This record gives sequence, structure tokens and C-alpha cells, in this order.
Amino acid sequence: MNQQTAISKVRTCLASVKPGVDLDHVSDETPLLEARVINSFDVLELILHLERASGRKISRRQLVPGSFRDMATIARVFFGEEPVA
Amino acid sequence: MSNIDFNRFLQRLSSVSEQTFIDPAILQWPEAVDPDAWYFSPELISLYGSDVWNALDERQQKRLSLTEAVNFFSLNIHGEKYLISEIGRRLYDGQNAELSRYLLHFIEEESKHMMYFSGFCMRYAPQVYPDRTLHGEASDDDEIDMFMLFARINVFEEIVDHYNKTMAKDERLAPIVREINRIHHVEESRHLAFGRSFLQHCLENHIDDWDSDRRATLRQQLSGYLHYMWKQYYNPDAYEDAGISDAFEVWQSATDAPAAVQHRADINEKRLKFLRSLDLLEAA
Repeated sequence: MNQQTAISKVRTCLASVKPGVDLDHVSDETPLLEARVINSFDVLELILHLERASGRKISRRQLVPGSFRDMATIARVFFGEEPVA
Repeated sequence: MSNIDFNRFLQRLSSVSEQTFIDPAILQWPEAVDPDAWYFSPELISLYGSDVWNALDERQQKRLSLTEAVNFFSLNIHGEKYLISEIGRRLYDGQNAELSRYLLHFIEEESKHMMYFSGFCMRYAPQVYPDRTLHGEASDDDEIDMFMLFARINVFEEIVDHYNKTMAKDERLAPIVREINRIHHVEESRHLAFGRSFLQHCLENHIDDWDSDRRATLRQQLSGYLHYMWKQYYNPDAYEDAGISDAFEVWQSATDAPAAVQHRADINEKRLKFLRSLDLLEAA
């Protein structure tokens, strides 16, 4: 799966978790936690959606704030061939 | 509570922990699970009262009761792992010695609880459901972090204790489940007493320097945690392992089911009075 397709899937997952947030104004590189698009409590639901979309379970090593830095990073962590976290 | 009174209270808690040690070997583990037994009180199951629940036959409901027990025990394991690591790194780190002494008992008891919970999960599931909690970054104020750690622990333990007390008395349940819940309730009663006194003591000590803005932030963070904690009770893995079709879709609608909303409100009302009395949570 290429990176843009993966980011598109991340956007869909994020939209499910934060239906009230206008993601059109959130770029692929917007720092999601710092910009308060999501908080650490939202991550549980986001992970479940990402696991469903990617068919992969999150590993303990991936469960760090850096994995959720922005949509591009999430796409690499959850959909990349070699998870970066 | 003065510092002297608080230290006396800690000494009493340490003494009780030393005199009432519960040996994990007392648990009598059955060889296998009985498919005709309940492992979680039906009324506490996350889907209870929903259309999905009502469509299950009794055998399926009992199968779900087993995976809900595994989820409940898994949540406890992950919560205890985290608090052991957070408390452990603060021991004898500038805090009073009586507090560190009691916290060593606290850690030892939490370790044993993980033995009971993981003993059940690994024998009968056999797995502990994964942790999906992203813990926030530490702030630049260790006292605030310690306070919020115990405030979150208090929320978690109050609600878990409601489940423990209910299931320890529930004669429909398999004896091993009742016993795990009973033992946990006994030791957590001390942890709850400690947590309440610790939070009260901190607030009294910081009455002048934790202003209304600071307290509003703490209240907001704790409300967020309460909301999050309840979310963890709804686990699509547990639904899938119980054989429920469309487990993910069931999970998506489970928290908003009217019976689930009422269930959480009833328990919050009953068990979080103390935190509301400290103005750490909004009125129910």
C-alpha cells in the first residue's frame, strides 16, 4: 500500500473517532497531540479503528506518543511494510 | 489531617498489610472452564440490556461472561503494571519514609493481584488482552503528577471495587471468579482508604498554592480519565472471542446503548462521591 492510500485510511479512522473535527484543515504533518486534534484518551479508539483497517494489532513498542505524531507517521506505523516505532 | 496524623495512618496501613498477608497459593484453580457456568455477573456485562445481548441464548451469554472476565482482569493487570512502575520510581525519592514504606506494601499487593488475574486469563483464555493505553507525558511538577496518579487510581479502584464486591457475592458465578474478586476487594479496601487520605492530605497541604485554575485543570483531566476508563470496558476482542458476529460494529454502538449509559451513571453516582466531595469531579 502506498503512503497516500495509507494516509487516506488514517483520515477515515480519525474521522470516526473525532466526528466533530474538521479534518480538511489538518495536514498530514500536523502534530495531532500537540495541536489537540486528539488527546491521549482518544488513542484507544483510534488504535481499534487502525487495527481494524490495517488487520494488524498494535505492539507494545508502538504504543508511544511518537507513533501518533501526525497522520503521515501513523500511516507508516500501522500500514507501512516495516513499522517505524 | 496533620502530617503526624497522616504518618500514623500510614503506619496502621503498613501494619495491617504485614499482618494479613494473603498467599496467592490459596486459590484452587479448576482444570478447565465449564461452558455452563457464569464468569461475570450478567448485569455487569458491557452488552447487558442491549439488543445484541437480548438476541444471545444463555450459552452464548455465558461464553461472553468468560471473555468479559478476561477483559476485566486484563484491564486490572495493565492498570497495576503502570501504577507499580510509576510508584516504584518515586520510592524514597525525597518523600517521607512512612509513605515509601506503605507504598512498598501497595506494590507487593498489586503484584499479587496480577498473579490472580493473569492466572485466570492465561489458564482459560489463554491470553491477556493487549494494553492500548497511551500514557500522557509527565508534567514539570512531580507533586501534581503524583496527585493525579492517585486520583486516577482512585477512580479506577472505586469502580473496580463495585464489580469485585458484586461478583464476590454472586452465587451464580464459578467459585474461582468469586474468590479472585473477594480477595481483590479485601486488599483494595486498604488501597482505597489510602488513596482517599492521600488525596485529601495533598489538597489540604496545597490549599493556598493550587488556585482555582489549577483545580479546574485537574478536574477536567480526571473527567477525561473517567470517560476513558469506561471506554476500556467495551472491548471488541472480547466480543469476537465470545463468537459475536460483527464484533467491531457491536463495539462501536455498545457504549451509547441506553442500558450501558444508565449502568455507568449509576456506578459513577454510587462510587465517586468522595472525589466529587473534593471537587475533583463534576456533580453527577
